[in-house]
Amino acid sequence: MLSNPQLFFFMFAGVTFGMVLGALPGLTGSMGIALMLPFTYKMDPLTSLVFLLSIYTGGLFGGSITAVLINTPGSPANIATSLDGYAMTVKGESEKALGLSLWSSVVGGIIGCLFLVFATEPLASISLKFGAPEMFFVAVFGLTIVGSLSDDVLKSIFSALFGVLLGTIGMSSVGNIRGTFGSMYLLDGIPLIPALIGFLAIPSILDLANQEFITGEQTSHEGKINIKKVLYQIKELIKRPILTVATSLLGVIVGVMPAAGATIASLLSYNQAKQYSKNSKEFGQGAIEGVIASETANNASQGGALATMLVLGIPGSNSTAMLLGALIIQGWVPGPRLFIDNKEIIYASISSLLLQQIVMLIIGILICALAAKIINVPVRYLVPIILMFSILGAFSSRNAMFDAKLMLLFGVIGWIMKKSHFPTMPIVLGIILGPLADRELLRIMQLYDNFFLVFKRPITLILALLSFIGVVLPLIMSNKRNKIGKKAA
Amino acid sequence: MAYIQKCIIPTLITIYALSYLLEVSGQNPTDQTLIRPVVVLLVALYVINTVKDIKETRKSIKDEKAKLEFAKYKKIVFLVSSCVVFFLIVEKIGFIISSILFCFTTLYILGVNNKKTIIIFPIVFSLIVYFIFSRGFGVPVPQGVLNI
Repeated sequence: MLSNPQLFFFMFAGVTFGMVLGALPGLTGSMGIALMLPFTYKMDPLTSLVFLLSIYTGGLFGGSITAVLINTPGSPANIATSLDGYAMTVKGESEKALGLSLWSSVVGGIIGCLFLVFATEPLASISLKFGAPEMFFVAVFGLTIVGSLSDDVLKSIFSALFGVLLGTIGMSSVGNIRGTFGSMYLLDGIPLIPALIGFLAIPSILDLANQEFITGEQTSHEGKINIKKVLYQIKELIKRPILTVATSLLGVIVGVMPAAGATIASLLSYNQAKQYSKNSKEFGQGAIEGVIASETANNASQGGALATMLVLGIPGSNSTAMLLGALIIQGWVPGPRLFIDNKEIIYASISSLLLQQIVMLIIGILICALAAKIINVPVRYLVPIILMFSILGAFSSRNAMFDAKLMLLFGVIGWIMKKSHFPTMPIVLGIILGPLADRELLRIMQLYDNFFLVFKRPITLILALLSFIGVVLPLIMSNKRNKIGKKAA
Repeated sequence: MAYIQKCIIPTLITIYALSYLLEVSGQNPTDQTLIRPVVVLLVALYVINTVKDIKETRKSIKDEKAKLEFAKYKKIVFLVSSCVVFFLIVEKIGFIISSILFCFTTLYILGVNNKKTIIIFPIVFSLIVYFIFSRGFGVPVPQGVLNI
């Protein structure tokens, strides 16, 4: 593979393309794979796989650039990155945030690849044992992150419940139409991209209208990024080896689960990092651990998702579903026989993933250097540009203007909620995890006479306990903080 | 006034949740398995939050910052309105013209006074965006009167 310059060309091209698409709100790496899929028909199988995997790799990091710089996650997998990454930017530490994000992506990606090489088959077969109860509690466990998203836990839960309700809109798994109020556009449920842009990006954009620059005032680096400073951020990961490896492994495990994917991986990882961190109070205000947890997990999940896709033929995310399509186009049948019939090509493409992480580092630095100039552009020019990209991003998810209008509605609701101290992130979490919880709960009701029988399954019981702790612990902590505050006053 | 501002969205969300429950209550009970407990919990939290907010608002009522600052929100209201106008005209006159008008309006709202910038920027930006999305990514943006 190393002697084939064509492969390197496609690797660089794929990573760059994926990164640019990932950075544009509304456009994701999976969309990049979809766009490039027709061009791979005439490629040989290895080149085709390497090219598409490179787009996938680039897309995962690309989304974090805009999440850090303008609080607009390029893809849902970078939602958690924006929490601390953007807070760092506001503090004038955009280089640090970008560097952390880049290195975390590279390290998470490498750990994911190593997992893919060594542990693909055994773990993928374990995840097959996950039934409806486990998947339901995976969704509930994911929702418990809301307890950590705001100082007011009750307001967070209120927002999350609203999100879960929005997530159940559309056709249910038994075929009934719910909550569409007659709109044909809502039959497939609330589209995720408009909701994501509306609830997360638009409130921030509207708030920018009263400022001169993103950071409030012009930053000292005048749009020139200090590459050394970006590269030095590796030391922050070296200082935190347990966090880096643990969140990467969590990402891999979540990635292995069918239908979980990079978004859930990064959110769960962020939540766990916050709960176990000594600096949990700093999360959301520019915590280094927050960026590391989110970015290592979402990149590492790639290895897990690819493992399930290659060994079992089950796509763990939109991107792996596209890659599955690419394999089928090549005339291959994903599954255990794939490793017997096409072992060399599969392992060559897997090992190319390791090289892609290095390519991502090189291209990532260049793109970060260009993107950092955004910080010093006056917001009076930036706001129309971001608004137009947001509108087009929402529109292009289904080529429907309805989605762009929905995005604006969500944006206004999100902005008013933000002003009333209701966090909007839990709504997005609810929209993502609500349908999963709804579907699996329905399956549980069909499979079990009594709901409580599900707790006889050990993994379910562990997940249920962790979920309970995830809600109760922030409530206790919040009460303690209030009491200390009152005493101090 | 500050209290109304605080509770308007939670109230609307609660009304929405109840009407959603009402809509599904006539359907198959299995479809309500998750929705019913979620709505009940949401209404309970609404009551708790409202009581809490009333108490907090009473305490901070004398605080000047709690008052509504309409001047501060003027730009935001105009920005949202220009988005609404964009949606009203885009499918009739097409993306390029409506995008030029949208950019021109938003630049003006945000205080750009330079005549060259306010004219050239919207045209160049709209054309670039159009070609990236329409030709590059194959997104079928509304053509309208200009069928390029």
